[in-house]
Amino acid sequence: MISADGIAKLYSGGNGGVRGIDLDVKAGEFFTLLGPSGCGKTTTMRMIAGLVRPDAGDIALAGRPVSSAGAGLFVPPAKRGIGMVFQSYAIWPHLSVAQNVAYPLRVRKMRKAAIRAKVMTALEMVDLAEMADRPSPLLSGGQQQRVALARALVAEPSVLLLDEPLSNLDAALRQRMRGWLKDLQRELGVTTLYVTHDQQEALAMSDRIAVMRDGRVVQAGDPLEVYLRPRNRFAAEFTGTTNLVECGIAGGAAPAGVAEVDAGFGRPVRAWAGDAVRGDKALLSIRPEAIELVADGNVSDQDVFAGQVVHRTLLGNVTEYVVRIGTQQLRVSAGTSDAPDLDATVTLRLRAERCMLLPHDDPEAATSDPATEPALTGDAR
Amino acid sequence: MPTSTAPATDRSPEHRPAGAPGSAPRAPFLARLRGRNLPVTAVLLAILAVLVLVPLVLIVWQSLTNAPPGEGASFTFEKITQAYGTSSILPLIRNSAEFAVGSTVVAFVIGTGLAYLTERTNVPFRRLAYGLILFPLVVPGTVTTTAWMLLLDKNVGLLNYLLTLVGVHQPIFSAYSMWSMIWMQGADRFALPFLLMAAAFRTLDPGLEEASAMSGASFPRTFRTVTLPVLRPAIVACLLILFVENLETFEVPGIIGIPAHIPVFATYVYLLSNNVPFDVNLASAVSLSYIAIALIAVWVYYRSIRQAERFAVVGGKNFRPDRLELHGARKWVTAGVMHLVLLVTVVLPLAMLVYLSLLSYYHTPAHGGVPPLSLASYRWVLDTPEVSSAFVTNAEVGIVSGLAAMLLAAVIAWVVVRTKAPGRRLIDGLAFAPIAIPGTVLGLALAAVYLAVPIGVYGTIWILVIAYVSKYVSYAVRATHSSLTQVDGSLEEAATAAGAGGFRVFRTVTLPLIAPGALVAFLYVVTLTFKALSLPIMLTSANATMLPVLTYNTIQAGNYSDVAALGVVTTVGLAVLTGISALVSRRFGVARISGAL
Amino acid sequence: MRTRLFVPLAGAAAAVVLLAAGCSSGGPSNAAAAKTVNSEFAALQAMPPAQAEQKLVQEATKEGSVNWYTVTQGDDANLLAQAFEKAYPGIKVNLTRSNEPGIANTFNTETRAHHYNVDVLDDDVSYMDQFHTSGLVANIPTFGIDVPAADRGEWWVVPDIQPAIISWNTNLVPNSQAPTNYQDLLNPKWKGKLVIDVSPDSTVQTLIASWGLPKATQWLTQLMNTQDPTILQSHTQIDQLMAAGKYAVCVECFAYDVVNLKDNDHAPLNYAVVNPTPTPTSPTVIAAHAPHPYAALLLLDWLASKPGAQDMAKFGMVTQTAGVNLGSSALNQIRDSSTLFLDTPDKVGSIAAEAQNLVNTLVAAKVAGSGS
Repeated sequence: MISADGIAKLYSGGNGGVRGIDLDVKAGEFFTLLGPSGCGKTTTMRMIAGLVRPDAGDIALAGRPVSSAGAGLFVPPAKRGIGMVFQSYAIWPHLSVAQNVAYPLRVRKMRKAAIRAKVMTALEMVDLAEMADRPSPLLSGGQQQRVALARALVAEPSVLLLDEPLSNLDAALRQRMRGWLKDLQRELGVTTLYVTHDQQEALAMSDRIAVMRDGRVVQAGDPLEVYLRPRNRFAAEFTGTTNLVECGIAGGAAPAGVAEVDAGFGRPVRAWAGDAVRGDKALLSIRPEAIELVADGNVSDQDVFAGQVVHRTLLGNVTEYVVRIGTQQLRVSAGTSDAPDLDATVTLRLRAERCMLLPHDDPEAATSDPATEPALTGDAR
Repeated sequence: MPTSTAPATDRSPEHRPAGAPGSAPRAPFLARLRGRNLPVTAVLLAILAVLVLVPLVLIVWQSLTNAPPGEGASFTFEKITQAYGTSSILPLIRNSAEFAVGSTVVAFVIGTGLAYLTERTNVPFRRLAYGLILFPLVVPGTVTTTAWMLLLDKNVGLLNYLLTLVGVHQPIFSAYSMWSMIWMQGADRFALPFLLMAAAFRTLDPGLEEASAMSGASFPRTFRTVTLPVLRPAIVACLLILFVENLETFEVPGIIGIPAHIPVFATYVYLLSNNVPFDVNLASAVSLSYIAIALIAVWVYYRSIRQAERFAVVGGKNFRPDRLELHGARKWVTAGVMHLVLLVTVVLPLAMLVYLSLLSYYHTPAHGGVPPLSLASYRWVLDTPEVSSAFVTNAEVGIVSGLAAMLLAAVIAWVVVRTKAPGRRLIDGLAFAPIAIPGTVLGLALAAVYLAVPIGVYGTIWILVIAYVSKYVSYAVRATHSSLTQVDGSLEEAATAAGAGGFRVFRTVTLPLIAPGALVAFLYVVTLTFKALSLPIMLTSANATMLPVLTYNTIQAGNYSDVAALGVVTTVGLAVLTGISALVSRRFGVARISGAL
Repeated sequence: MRTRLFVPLAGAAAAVVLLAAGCSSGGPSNAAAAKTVNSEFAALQAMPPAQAEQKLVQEATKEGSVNWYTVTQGDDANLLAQAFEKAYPGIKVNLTRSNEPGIANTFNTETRAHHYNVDVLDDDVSYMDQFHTSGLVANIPTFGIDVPAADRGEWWVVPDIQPAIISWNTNLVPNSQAPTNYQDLLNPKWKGKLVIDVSPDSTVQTLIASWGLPKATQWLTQLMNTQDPTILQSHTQIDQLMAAGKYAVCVECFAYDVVNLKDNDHAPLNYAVVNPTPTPTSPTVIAAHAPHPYAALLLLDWLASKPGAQDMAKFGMVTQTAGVNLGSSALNQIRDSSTLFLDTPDKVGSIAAEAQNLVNTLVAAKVAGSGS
């Protein structure tokens, strides 16, 4: 539904630029661009919206080309049939709630009665029907955001763009809106492109995500896939907390697949290596919750290691503790009822498929050839 | 000419509901403060009442009596019937309205156009444009008007002469008409709407227009249905403040209007004062409608500012102001047009001024070739004791008024913004009101008050100081107010928590933090004393001749070259002063001068 | 809440109280003060001149300053003040310059409010008469004054005169076609080409004295209504704009200014000394309540003395003191012309009021008129 081929935008300041991105968002999909500020995610979205003119590349919506830098084609945003929610909501203060939502329909010269019906439907969809004739400046942040959404959807667009819509809301509201937004999208089935810097949002809501940094896509794919199998340090760290340990690969250059590495644990650890790993040095990435606490584990098992608890932090339902294994310290999280005491000796299982080897020198190696990827990822472009 | 010319509204964190984080430690501070503030509020109210209400009360009183106070006045309506009974009041109202409205439109169109180009497009040479746009702020209006008068004169104007060189022998321009008055005033005053509208554009969330585009609207439709309505409160406020200023201005109506037989309110009051004996009661009666018009305008302005603030809050944070990208030929043509406008409105009169200052007497090369240059006028400026004494007097009055206004403004702004003292709304309103009192009327009133009241202020610089402080404290409050709202209340609370008392907090935390805004306020008032004519024209005396009045007298005497030299010297001085102010503000990190203004 | 209303009401009440106080406040009565200055001067007059002079200088230096309210245009007043200060170091001259109604007004208003600031005052003769009748001016001792008898009276002195001529711009009007007398100005060829000051009282007074009121009225009426002259606020402004070529013929221009522009700046101007030659003067008087009476008398004496006249001549002003050579031979010639008609208070007296009335009706009314 949304396809972008090699789009790029350069800014003289250097920030926020986009340096060649390919996207292919399928119909009905919820696709998220995830990255820190300045990574180019909003610029990418604005290029698709038509608010920014790309310096290079082509964009097509629903199969129809809307922008081609090479061919000099540029369809203005008003003609792209897109609904967009802005980070600031952009609710027009001089219009009432209903007038805000009705605006796209009035532009399309629909009849008054038909407009009113559609507006009320849209407002009911976002639970704001009773506010229809209120002046918009009187609304709270969350309410404005829903009005913005109703306005974006009222004309039944083929594509919905959401630019960090939840970032101005407080934590509790954000969590509620997350679920609500996802349910709405699934019910409507509208193709959605979402931009955020919050990895929880990205992981919770998306069908697919693309992690971005400095104008490039660092890794793209199914959220779970990216979370479990990050392909480089940046992707690993940006999608969640992780332990990173420098390790040496026994036997030099490792082929894709399971390898044995020396991470300073006392004996080799089995870990999964992607083909981006080069040389005999790598980073071992293990997520805290992926380290299993095994009661009276058998240390002769290749995956089981003994360690000592040196630190404990109670976080509520989860306790995070630091275990010394060999010369390293790993952060581990477990349910509070299972968590060991301070100074206790514990046995931990490090499953090979949860231990990822990441390239040592290149923190933002770009996505590689899909053919060499493990089966789970699907289409990564 | 403050951009955020809004009356202060209370956005202090004290207005957060109790129970919000941090509300507990705030209460004791406030309680202590409240106890200490009553005397401060009372003193402020008393000062403002004397400065603002007394002259107004006097004008009303004088219009209902038949002699000045102290000379056996008795109540009568005859002065009011004399003022409004004849039909001669109608042309006065018509002229004043035409002039004020016309020049407002001209200034607004030029200023807004320039603001749009510099804020929302990528037109090149923006820095140069800024400099040119803001330069007229340091050039006295008397002097620019003289330059325009000699540029546009039908018989001996330089422009008509230049036209003859290219074969056009019918004089096209003329100096003594309503159109030329409107042009001169409008071309001199577009810096204010520029600053106000630039600020409005800057705080306009581009998302509002983008959302309209995304909703399918074309650019003209977006402009009509989104941009204009959202900007409307700011536009209305800008138009009104311009209108009030143009209604009370004296330079153009005095220099051009009087010889052209186009009296407006401002000059009418002055002309009345030239009759012997001066019928002060008639002048007061006429002033009543003058003040009424201004007050209505200011009231509507006040309301628009409130609405503008509401709209601004809705916008939200975190938006990137996007610029309209002009490409290729369009970009250069736009830049060319922009600078052409600036050339005609700013550079032309300045160039004429410099040229004029180097002539021994003004004449075009029409007969006898290009006149030789001479420095006689500059020698006049530098050698004449009357001139240097006017400079000194002006500087004295300016500095004292500026300091007084700044201090008063700082206290007012602090009381209004930071405390919950009762009466602070009234204080704010009183400090704001003098914008509506025309300078000539205020001068008239103060002269009468201090002739009657034996304080010994009449005929000295102190009556001028009182006049300037009364009139310009409102501008000073705006500048300090912006500065103060940018300083978070928690900074002062931290000082209180550390044990400092109310006044110490004010002195050691608040004052230093608002110093840049206060400095801007100070320098702005000083600049105004060198430029404004409407106030001092009615208050001038032997020991206290201000520079604008000296300039006006020199114009009356026809010594245009001397006027030009005086203007050049004054402009250079004010430019240096303003440059220093800008440097200081930037060094101490205050938000741009335009924001504080 | 109460504070909100209380204080502004208090402010308004204070205003009313102050006004009331101003209403009822008296002050030293006019008569009493006048007696003081006049009696001091009478005492001086009674002394032998040399002694009187000495005492005058002594007391004046003690007073230390003098306030001079004048209508003298241009830098002349400044230069004169400087010259006086040089002659009498220790006495500072505080100048207030304004146009004629302005000065008279200030004097009037301030005196009525018992605000006595004026020492020496010079203004148009029409106002002087009013002031004298109201008892606002003092009598002046005779010693130390060098001007000819025609130039002084009991309470006034005329230190310098302003012969007025008809002038024209030579680029616009060839000398052969220029007007030579006042009746010439009524020639239709001058319609729309004339410029006149807003208060040509002097010319009108001279014409009333020479031709009688009816003929003078007829002349002025025709001049204003048929010839449609431009009316400007000041004589020097008229001179400057004539030099620039904006106007062709000036009805009443001051000789010294035109001569200066013509001879020193080489402006394209020429002039004619007509018969009679209106010679406005600004009679100089001393205020009856002068705060510095001795300094005032000293200044006035100096202005009317030979050294004063010589300084004035240096600045291009025209005096009639014997033995003083004016700035140029042209001015000497004009000064010595027999056609001069000085409008001093004794010559003009009642005519002044008539002239002013005529000017107000026919000229001034046009200025503050309605509409464009």
